[in-house]
Formats: sequence, C-alpha cells, structure tokens
Amino acid sequence: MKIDIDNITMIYPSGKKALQDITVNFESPGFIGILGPNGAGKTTLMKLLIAGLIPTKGEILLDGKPLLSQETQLKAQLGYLPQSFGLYDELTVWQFLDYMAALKGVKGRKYIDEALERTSLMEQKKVRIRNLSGGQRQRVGIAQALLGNPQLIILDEPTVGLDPEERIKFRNIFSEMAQNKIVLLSTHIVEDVQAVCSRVLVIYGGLILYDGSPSVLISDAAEHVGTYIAQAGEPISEGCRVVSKVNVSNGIRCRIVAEKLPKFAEIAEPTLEDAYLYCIHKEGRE
Amino acid sequence: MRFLSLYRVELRRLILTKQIWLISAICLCVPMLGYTVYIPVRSVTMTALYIGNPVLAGTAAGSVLWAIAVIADASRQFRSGTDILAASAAPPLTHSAAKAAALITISASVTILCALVYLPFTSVKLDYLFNTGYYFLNFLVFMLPTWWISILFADGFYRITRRVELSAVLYAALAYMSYSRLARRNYFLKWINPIAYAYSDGFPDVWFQRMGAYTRLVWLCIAAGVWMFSLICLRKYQKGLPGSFVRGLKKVYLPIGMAALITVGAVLWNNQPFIGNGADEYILYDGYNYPLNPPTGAMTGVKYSVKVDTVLGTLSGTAEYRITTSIKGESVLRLNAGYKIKSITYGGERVNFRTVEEDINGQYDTYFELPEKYREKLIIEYGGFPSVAQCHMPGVHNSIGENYIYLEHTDIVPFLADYGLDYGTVDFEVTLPNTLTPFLYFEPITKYVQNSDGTRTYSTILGDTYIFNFIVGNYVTDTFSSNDINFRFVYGDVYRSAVEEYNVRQSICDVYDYCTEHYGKSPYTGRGLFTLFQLSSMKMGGYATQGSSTWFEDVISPNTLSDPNRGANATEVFIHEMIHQWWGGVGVWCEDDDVWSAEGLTVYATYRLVKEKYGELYAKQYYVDEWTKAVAEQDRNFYNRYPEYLEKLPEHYREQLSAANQQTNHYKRMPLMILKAEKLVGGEEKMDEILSRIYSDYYNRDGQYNVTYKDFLDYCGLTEEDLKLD
Repeated sequence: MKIDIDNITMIYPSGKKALQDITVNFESPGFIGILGPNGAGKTTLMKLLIAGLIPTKGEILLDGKPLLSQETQLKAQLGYLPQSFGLYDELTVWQFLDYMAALKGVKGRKYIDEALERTSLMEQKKVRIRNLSGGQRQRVGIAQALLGNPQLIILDEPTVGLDPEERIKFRNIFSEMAQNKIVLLSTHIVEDVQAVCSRVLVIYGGLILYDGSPSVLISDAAEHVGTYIAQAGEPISEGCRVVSKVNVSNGIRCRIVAEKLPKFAEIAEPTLEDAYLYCIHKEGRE
Repeated sequence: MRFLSLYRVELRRLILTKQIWLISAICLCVPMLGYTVYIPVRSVTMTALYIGNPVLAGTAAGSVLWAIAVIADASRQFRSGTDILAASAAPPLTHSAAKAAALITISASVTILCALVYLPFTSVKLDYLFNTGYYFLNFLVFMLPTWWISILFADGFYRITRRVELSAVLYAALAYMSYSRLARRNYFLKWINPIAYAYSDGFPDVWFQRMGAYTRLVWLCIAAGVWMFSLICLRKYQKGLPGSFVRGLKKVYLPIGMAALITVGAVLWNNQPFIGNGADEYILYDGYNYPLNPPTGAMTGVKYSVKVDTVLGTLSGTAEYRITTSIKGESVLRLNAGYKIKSITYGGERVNFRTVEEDINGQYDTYFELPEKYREKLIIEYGGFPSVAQCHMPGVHNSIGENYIYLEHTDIVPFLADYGLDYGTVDFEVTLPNTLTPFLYFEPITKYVQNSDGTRTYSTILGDTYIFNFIVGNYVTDTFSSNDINFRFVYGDVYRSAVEEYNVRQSICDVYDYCTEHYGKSPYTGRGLFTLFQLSSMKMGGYATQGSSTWFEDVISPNTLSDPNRGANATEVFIHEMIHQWWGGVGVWCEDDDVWSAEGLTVYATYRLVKEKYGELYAKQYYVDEWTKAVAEQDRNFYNRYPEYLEKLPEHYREQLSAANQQTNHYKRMPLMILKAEKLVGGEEKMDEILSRIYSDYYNRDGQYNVTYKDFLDYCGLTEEDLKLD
C-alpha cells in the first residue's frame, strides 16, 4: 500500500488553516509516529487520510489513485481508532466487535477472536461494555481497529487510559503489525513513538517540521540539550525552553533545550522528547 | 451481502437496546387507550370497540413512540461518537438503509406481537363475531405501515437536521397536521390517524381498510421520498447541510429515487378512487332524484347488466336502452363520480361524449349528442370503483366488498336525465361471485342462474328506473305478524342470538301496536307487509321509506342491547325509526323550521312508548332528564345568550354551534315543548287524541302533508307563548 499526500492544504469553513502545503508519502511497511502539540493539525491529517475530510487544495492518492474515488477500498483496508469515540454500552465486547466487523465487511469469527486475544479482552468478551473500565474500553477501541488485519492502521492517542504495562504491550502489538502495513500513530506520549516508530513526523502549525527517523531527530538535537541547577524564583534564560524541572537538594535541576545553550548549562544526552521540543523550539515557534 | 450483514448486526444492536425494549413494551400497551380515551370509530359495534379503536389507538400512539425511539437512537450515536467509528468503517448509505430496515423489522415484529397479545382477549370478547383474518388485517393495514411511515419520517428528519429538537418539531408539525382542521375533510392528510369511522360486526366490510391501505401506500412513498432526501443531506467530510446536499446530489440515483417516490405518492394521491372531489355539504338541487329537464325523450324499455368484482371492489355495467323518441341536441347522463364511461353507442355507432368532472353529491354528468337519424338501441358501457361523496363521509354510502355491498341509484346504473323516470320495462340483472342474497329496494332477488365460473346472475324486473338501493349481505329474513300486519325483518345472520335474547321481534310488534292504537293505522297496513331492514354500520343512521324502516347496525349490536346506560341513546333507535312510519319520513310530514320538525314528534312518541314499556322512572331518566339537561346547556351557552358576539367567532365554530343548536332544538327542546303541551291540554290521553287527529287529518290530505308548528299549536289550542320553556 502506498499513500501519497501531495501538497495539501486544509482550511476549515471557520477560516482556520489546519494544514498548509503538506507533501508526504507513506508506504508499507512503515510505523510512523506523528508528534505535535494540540491544534498542530495531526487529527486533521488523520481525518484526511480516512476520507473524513476533503482537502481545500492538493490531493491524496491511494496506490496512485485519488483517495476519494477509492473510499470503499480504503475502508475495507482501514483500522481506525479516533481520539474520542463511543461504544454501544448495551452490547458485549464480542457483540460490539462483531458489529464493527460487519460494518467493515470483515467475515469470520477468527478475526474477532484474534483481536480479542491481541488486546487481552478474551476474558471480557461476554461482558457488557457498560461494565468495562476506562482502560478496557480503550482496548475495545483498539481491538476494533485491528479487526480484519487492515493494511492501514491509524491510531489517534491509542494508549490514553492504559496503564504503563498495557502501554508497553500495545506498543509491541503495534510494532508487530507494522511489519507489513502502514501504521500511523498520533500521540502525546513521545516515549511510545521512540520505542516503536521507524519514522516520525513533527507537525506544528499545520506544517511538517520534521519527517525522518527518530535517531536523526535526536542527533539533530545533540549539544542543544542541557541541564543546570536553578534557584527558586530565578528566571529562565532567554532562548531556552525548559523540558523538565526536578527539585534536588541544592535547588531545581532544569533540563532545557536551546539553539545555543547558556554557558552554565551542562550538555546532556538528548531524548526524543528533547529532540521534538528542540525541533519546535529552533524554528522560533515557541 | 454487505447490506445483509449490516442489517443483521444493526438488528441485534437495536434488539439489545433498552430504549427499544421500553418503546416496544409501551407500544404493546397503547392499544388499551382505544378501550377508554381514544375512540376514533363512530360506530359502537363490538368490532369497533375491540378491534377498531384499539388498533387505531395503537397506530397513532405507537407511531409517535417509534419516532421518539428513532430520533433518540440516532442522537445517542451522534452524541456518544459511535457514528465516528461507523462512518470510518461502513459505506454510510448502506449503513443508513440497514439501520432503517432493522427498525422497520423490529416495528413489524412488535405489530405482530401486539396482535397476538390482544388476540385472546379480543376473541373472547367478540365471541362468535370474531374473525381471525379480519382481526390481523386491521393490524397489518393500519398499524404496521403507519409505524413504518413514522420511522422513515423521524429517521429522515434527524438525518436532515442533526438536531433532536428540530427533528421533534418537524415530526410534531407533521403529526399535528393529521389532527388539524385541514385534515378534517382532506382525509388523505390523516397519515398518523387513518380514518375508519365504522366497523361492522354483521357485514364485515373492508372499505376503510382498502382506503387505509391506499393512504398508507401514498404516505409510504412520501415518507420514503423524504428519507431518500435525507440521504442526499447525509453529512460527509464535515460539511454542513448545503455542502453535503450538493455532494449528495452527485449520487444521481438518490435525487432520482426521491423524485420517483414523491411523484408516485402524488400521482396516487391525486388519483385516489375513494372520495369524490365535491362539496363537504350535501347539495340540494333539482334533478338529483328527478329529471333535470322536463322529459323530452321516451323509451320502451331498458336492460341493465351489472357485474360486481367484490375482490377489487369494482363494478362494470351495460345499460341498453330501447329509444322511441330521441333527444334533439345534447343529453346528459349522471353516474357515480368514480366510474368511467367506456363507450356510448347508438345503433352500433359510437357517440362522442364528454364528462364534466364537477362532483355533485358524488356524481359526474356526462354529455353526449345522438345522431339525428333514428336508431333504436342506445348502449352505455361504464365501470370502475364507486367513489364516496365528500358529503357522505364518514357514513360511507357505497361500498363493494366480499361480504357486503351497498349501492344506490347512480352507483349502479346511469341516470338519463332527459327521459324522465318512465323507462318502460326495466330489466335488471347482476352477476355476483358469491352466494349472498342480493336485495333491491329491500326486496330479495330470488331468481338467478348459476354460471359455470361459480358466479350467479340474478335478474328481476323493476317497477321504475330509480334504484333506491342495492344491498348484498349475509342476511336472515324473518317474517312474523302482529294483528293485521306482516313484518319482514331482515338482519345480519350473526345477530340471530341477539335478536332472540333481546326479544327484538316483540319490540317491533310493540311499536307497531302502540302507534296504531294511539295515532292510527300505518300507511302500509293495507299493503300488508312492513319491512325492517338492518344496514351495515358503514351506513350511518337509519332511515324510513315507504313500507320500510332501516336502522343502522349498532342498534342491535349485543354491545348496545346489553348496555343499560345507553337507554334512549341507542337501544330505542330502531323504535324511533319505526315511528317515522307515522311521523315524518313516510307518514305525516312535518315542516322543518328552527325548532319544529318531525323529529320532535317522533322523539316524544318514542318516550311515551318507552314509558309504557319500561316505566316512568326509566323514561324520565333517559328522556325527560336528558332533554332538560341538553336544553339547559343550550340556554347557558354564552353565544346563545349573547348572539351579538357570535360574529367574533370563526365561521367554523359558528357552523358548529348552529348545527348543535338545531340538533338540540329538534331532538330535545321540541319534545320538551310537546311534553309541556301535554300538561297544558290535560294529560297524555288528551295529547294522544290530538296527535291521532292530526295524523288522520293530514295523512289523508292530498298534496298537503306538512304539519306546521302553527298547525300543531292550533290543534292543541295553545300559543307559542304557552310552550316557551322557562
């Protein structure tokens, strides 16, 4: 499967410009993490990819053909987990997955059982959705996205509500799935992206700031990440962006990113989170 | 296949939804409203009480409930965000269709369940009157499609507006239209409350069911059209209504489908065969019963051959006239507005004709001009579905069904207005597909030949060309005598036991004896035969003609006869109609004015007979007290006390008040005034003497039958002032 996004711009009727002249390609296999702050345009991009929106300008091609003319084929190959979604409380987990399987045109109980097993919901398959915890509901959402072995999986904040152990488990599941598919993972949890994604997109203000491997993004941030001990009430040095603050015995240990680190800062090994923040910061956008 | 799998899961989802269970449970209960508060059927037969009203109550209330269920479910999906998942997975049009189909299936199941739930109770209540097929027919014709219509409208409205309150307002407006003034005469607007004013126990008729099925079909087309329009408006790509609509139009099969459905609905509506397009009120005009013009043509005979299709409810016929003097210039023939003239031939040559589609009391006039060269035979071929005049609703005048046929005059044969009423020898033959006995002018037609196709062709020779009525039903004919009169009592076969149990024959004799003794011999005593004929409840009210009294079915319905509370309101209606043989109708005519009419005398006579039969207390309770109460209410009415304010009322209310006042004056005030006169003249015996004198004086008068109020006062030696009620 191949998706070509060609110079698309998306402007909402309210006048808000959500994406500007974006050009990007996705090809299977690929596990792509999409990072960006709220309002950056991540969800808009995802909606465009599931044919939930029509771009104001530009075109999206699915295997070389316009996406909108391929809607039926797209839906047959799509596993989508939106950021917010509802479930039918009156159905059991199994019934809900059966319902979604029918909507997707997926036939066979084996796909439902497979999704249940992958999401560790086998024991709850006869439990009504209204009786599930928040994390279990999220797992049902993920399970429906996995139904039918879709070729394109789009996950918008999939690990919200999951405990750390489950998050790790799902990361691994997503990673396994990406071996022969395209998986797009939009998340605030940079750690998730770092752990599994082979490629990362950083979106900000409707623009793609970075498109490449996480390691390159991290290496770009080398010598732009530092730490220093600050005293309470001391102002942050100009041009620096604080990544974290930790109280220690002699003050507050601040982790900062900056185009040019202050002399008193000690250079630190960058993480993907540092790199992501640096990426946004260096463009002078924050 | 995709549709089927979507349908399957939607069906299961809905079945597992609590709201659907709740709505279904309430739907099973709402027919009970028909036993108590929602009484749309005007007849009080057992079938009306235990099938008609409950089914119609369930139809109307259930429709609203299903609309609530549909809007609530759609709104829940939208609010909870389940529609986002669905939209990403399934083609929205197929999914919408599957959802609607699932809802329709569930509502159909609830209809069947509803019918089954009430089946034991209804069958016990109706006992020998119960007909399983007829019972289920009512659920299937009224309840089921109306619920579907409601579902389609509600689903469509929500998809168009995406707002609960707007959908509810649109639906409420549409439902209100069914009960509005607009729908009072335009029966097709009653989509949620299909009309079925009458249900017959003895003569099961499917006229209202036929019309119900037809109107449901019309509304199903319209609702499906609206629903398809909603598919065009289906929101996609986060666009608003206009943007989605423009995109939806690109799926050309949607606007084409919508237009086709709405067009079919409109065409069906426009060409409905049931009700004529005439005036709401009966139009009195010269020539309804008599020639329009002085007869200038003449003939030696006519042969009417009529064939009735009781399954389709249609009639086809041929009238073959033997003309001796033809009309110069244009002639007119009058026929039921539902029929089409197929051909007019004169001596084998086709004659051009034109039908003026201006409905007068359910009839159209057709004009034709005969060639000057004399030929003997004028043949008119005609046929179709007999329509009912607007002014005859809700008492359906004509009807052709498998169990009952009621047709009058131009519902059966054409009326040639320029040839008078003397057509010479009038041969009438009618082919019927069953073995029910036909009656012509209350006389059974007994002569028939059995046809090879299982039908029978009955034939008779008529006294004149005017066919007062043609009735076919499952009748029993009883003959019995009282003193010097023979009675032919014709009633529905199902009423055999009721007639026995309530000793109806004895009541008939009592009336006859009472009236003969108090007023004089009936005009028909000499003829020796007095026919009492029960009509179907489809024909509202009873009437009296020469030597015959009819009454509507409800009067000897077991429900009426066993209800002690009805008293004068129903049990004695047939007594009332029989008394019209002496007063009004065919006995002594009374000139109608605002207060005085034959009804007053007839009601008074009925009261006197009932008093003699059941005692003073009964007569006071059900007659005098009722009259007094009604008159007091009339006098208390603000607009009657201050008529100067009447003009401020809308015309519709003024008409209602006027009709109510006339009803009270004739049936309540006048009897009360006669009762007052009775006291003033010296009691019952004196009044009987006066009435007897009036009867004998006026009955024998040539050309002057009308007794005026002044005549009555003169006979009593009283003045208008004397009879004023306090």
